[in-house]
Amino acid sequence: MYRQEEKMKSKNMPGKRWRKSCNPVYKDSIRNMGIAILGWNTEDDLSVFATTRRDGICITASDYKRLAPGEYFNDTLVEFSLKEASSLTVYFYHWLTPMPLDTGIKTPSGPRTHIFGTHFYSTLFHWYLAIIHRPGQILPPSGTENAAEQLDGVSVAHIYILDSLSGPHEQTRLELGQYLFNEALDKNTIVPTGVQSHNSLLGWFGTHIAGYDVPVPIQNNAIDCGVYLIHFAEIFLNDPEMVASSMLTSWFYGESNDLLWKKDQLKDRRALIKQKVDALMKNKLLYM
Amino acid sequence: MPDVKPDIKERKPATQDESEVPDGKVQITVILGEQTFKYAVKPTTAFKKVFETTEKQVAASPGTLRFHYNGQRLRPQQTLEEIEAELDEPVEFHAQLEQIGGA
Repeated sequence: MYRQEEKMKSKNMPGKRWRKSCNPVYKDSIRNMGIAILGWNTEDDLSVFATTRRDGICITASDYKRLAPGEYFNDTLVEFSLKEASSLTVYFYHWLTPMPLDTGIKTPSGPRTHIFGTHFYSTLFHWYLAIIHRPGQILPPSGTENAAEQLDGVSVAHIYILDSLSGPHEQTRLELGQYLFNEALDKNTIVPTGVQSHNSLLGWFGTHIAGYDVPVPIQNNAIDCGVYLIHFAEIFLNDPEMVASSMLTSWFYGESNDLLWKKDQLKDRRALIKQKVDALMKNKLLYM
Repeated sequence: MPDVKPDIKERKPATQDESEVPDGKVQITVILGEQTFKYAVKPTTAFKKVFETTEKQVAASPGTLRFHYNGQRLRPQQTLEEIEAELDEPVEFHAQLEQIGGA
């Protein structure tokens, strides 16, 4: 069985030089862990896995170790999980924040009903999830040229912040709002009037954006924020419209809807993510 | 070897001018925070080389930098050819450090 796999893999291997330099002892120990070795990094003895998709993620041995209980997740594991659920990128927010106000941001085209971002506090080693639901609401409906008329419109884009350690995120909402503002500028729906003052920006936010810190299940340790984030994102993606309206309700009551967030499943969540990675490796869906 | 000296002198300005890229190679700009690194690579060269060189330059441990091109995460074994990079425009890779979180 293993040999067959080896044959298939060799076609995808980057070169003989790589295989020659494999450390046989380490290779065996990985094999015992039930992982097919598909590639080898000569420099640091890491095995490297990636999905066959063009935008697939590499999972190295050091990433894989982070799936064990009690370990911090890293960005690769978060990105892998969100990619499995949808083609999302976790680096969205990272790119967003350094942009100056007058920069038009080019975002991938195509219809979208929501944008995801994760915000990472490097000092606190903490992630939380931000969802912009219906970002298109900031733009006037097609066929209308006069943007000013649209300011009376009642529909707004919603920004939801889901933090498993709770806490207000006013600054994040402002930054995301600024991104949407830049998008609107870029799509020529707002006429730039020289320097946009802080007040005029806030005014625009008020008529186009509504932000919420959504109560969600709180993590019961200091390790699993990545796991919670992935869990919340997947539940949202299953039924965005339903979850969005439920989030509004639980925001209104100030209480987490544990049924909606499937709180009882959270304790097994990490093991499930690991199973997913293992299954991909066994089914040869990962390649070098 | 009297010919060598003028040769070196002529080459110096060429290396200073970053727009000069050797034939058959493409200039890649790696942007990491406020730092930028420029490399001339062949379209068939694996990015591994670019990643490792950048990691060495900023004294980051191997495998701790993430590289993206047009929002797409790059793998060490990919090449410019494979990702079908648009070579008419400047090729810019955005790099960032690994994030670890839990608390």
